[in-house]
Amino acid sequence: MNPMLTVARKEIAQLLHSRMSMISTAFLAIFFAFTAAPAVTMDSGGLAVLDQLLFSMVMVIGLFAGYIFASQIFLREKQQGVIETLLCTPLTVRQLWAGKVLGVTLLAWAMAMGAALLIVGFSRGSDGVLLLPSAPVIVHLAVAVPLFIAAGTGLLGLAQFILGMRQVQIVNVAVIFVLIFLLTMTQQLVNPDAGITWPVAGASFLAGLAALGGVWATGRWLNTERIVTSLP
Amino acid sequence: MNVIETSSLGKAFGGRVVLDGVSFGVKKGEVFGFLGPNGAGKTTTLRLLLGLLEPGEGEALVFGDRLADREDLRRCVGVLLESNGLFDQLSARENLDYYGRLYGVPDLAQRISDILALTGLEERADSAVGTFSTGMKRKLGLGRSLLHEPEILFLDEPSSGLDPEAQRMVRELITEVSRHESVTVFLNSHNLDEVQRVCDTVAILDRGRIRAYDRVAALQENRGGVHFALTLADAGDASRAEGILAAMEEVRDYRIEDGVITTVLPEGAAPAEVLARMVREGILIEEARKTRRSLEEIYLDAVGPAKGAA
Repeated sequence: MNPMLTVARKEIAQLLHSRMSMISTAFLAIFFAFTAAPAVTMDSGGLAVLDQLLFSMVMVIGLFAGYIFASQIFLREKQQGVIETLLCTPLTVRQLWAGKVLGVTLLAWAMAMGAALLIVGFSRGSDGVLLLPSAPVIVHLAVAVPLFIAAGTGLLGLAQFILGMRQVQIVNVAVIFVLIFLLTMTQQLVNPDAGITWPVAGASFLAGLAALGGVWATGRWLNTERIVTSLP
Repeated sequence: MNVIETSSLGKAFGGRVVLDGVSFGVKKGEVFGFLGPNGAGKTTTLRLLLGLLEPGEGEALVFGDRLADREDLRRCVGVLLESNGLFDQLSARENLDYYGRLYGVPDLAQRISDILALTGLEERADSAVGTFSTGMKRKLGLGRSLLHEPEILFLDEPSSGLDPEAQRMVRELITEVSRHESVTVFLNSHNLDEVQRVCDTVAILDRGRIRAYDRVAALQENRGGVHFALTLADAGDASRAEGILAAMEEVRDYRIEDGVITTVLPEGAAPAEVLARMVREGILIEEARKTRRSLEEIYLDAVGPAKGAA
């Protein structure tokens, strides 16, 4: 098996065993799905509102899940010194980083999709009929969302690898504030008159691809010595 | 041929010199003990050899190359650092499976069973490592380091947290892999007894410099003159014996404990003169014998008593 996939597989197994991470992420997904659904039901522009909520909120939920999982996968291994042993294996530091990002992304994306299903399941049009998202939104959820989660997790993982513990704490606090702000804004900025079209979904995909490409390029800052000298 | 070699190795962090001109070599199949007080630079040397840090000066080579640049060479190296490298949420078997896949171990399931048997953890194979005691984790960590049958084993305080029986198991394991499988062992340790029992060669590091480096037997023979012990027939003669020793110029150092005098004379001095003087003064000697210095004495001599906490 490709070493990156080996790492990703282990990260998923480890996260699934981590009850606290799973419960807190599931709670987050359920909570925001419940709070978002009434907006769709009560609003006259039902489908457009649903599309917009799914378009933005599911991505932020995925990023939030990625944030929670990254702390478990990147930061905890660094705090416990396990990372030092991993750096002595035949893996390159970039393979290790990428494998971790892949594992975290897949699970965070699965949680985000769970939240999307809940939002859809609890949303009803004004006539009480179940609403289904439009095709561009479904493609966005399937393709662009994991790209954004991977980019966010990759950047956070990189920071947690190479920064000292105090700097990581500052970054973590800043990230959590940004994510809470974004989650709040996604509900505030819903416009019933606007829809999610194919060009919007396409632009989102390209933006996600660019974000991931940018984060992959920042991987050149990954440096074994920096990781080791910033161990607590 | 040396499989581990450092030459004029130096490293500084933020202007603070941690290692300065460290040179040593370890031959294939040798058990090499690396000793030194806390902060001496042992961990930094280990990290430089493992390619985790870049040397400031000189070289740190394994199999004649830098491990940092050679993923293929890292397959031949087993590592047990201060952290056991284990994941608490995963079981012992899952931990070994993960590392086995990273190292590409053939017939992995069988190899994992062998390692679990070797470490005596078969019954807890499917328990989460987070539920293990410190000693069990250390044993599993040691097993993990041997999983891929490395040619060189880097061990950082392998016995820490282990009970005496498990410590013996570690010593036997080190001796076994070294003698029968020609595995080279680099043992970073504070445990002088362990080092004395298992190591062929020792280097003592203090304040970033090598203070002593030789085969253990040679260090015990060569450094510090002639060592011998006199057992008094009557322990009550101890204070009189002490007075005689204090008055003898050639006696460099002595210690009296439970009626046994251990003392050091300069190279070439005759212990018989001390013995004769004692007898002339009417002190009866039950036994007189030449002794070899313990590793503890060598260590304290190298790093100074103030820093000699082992």
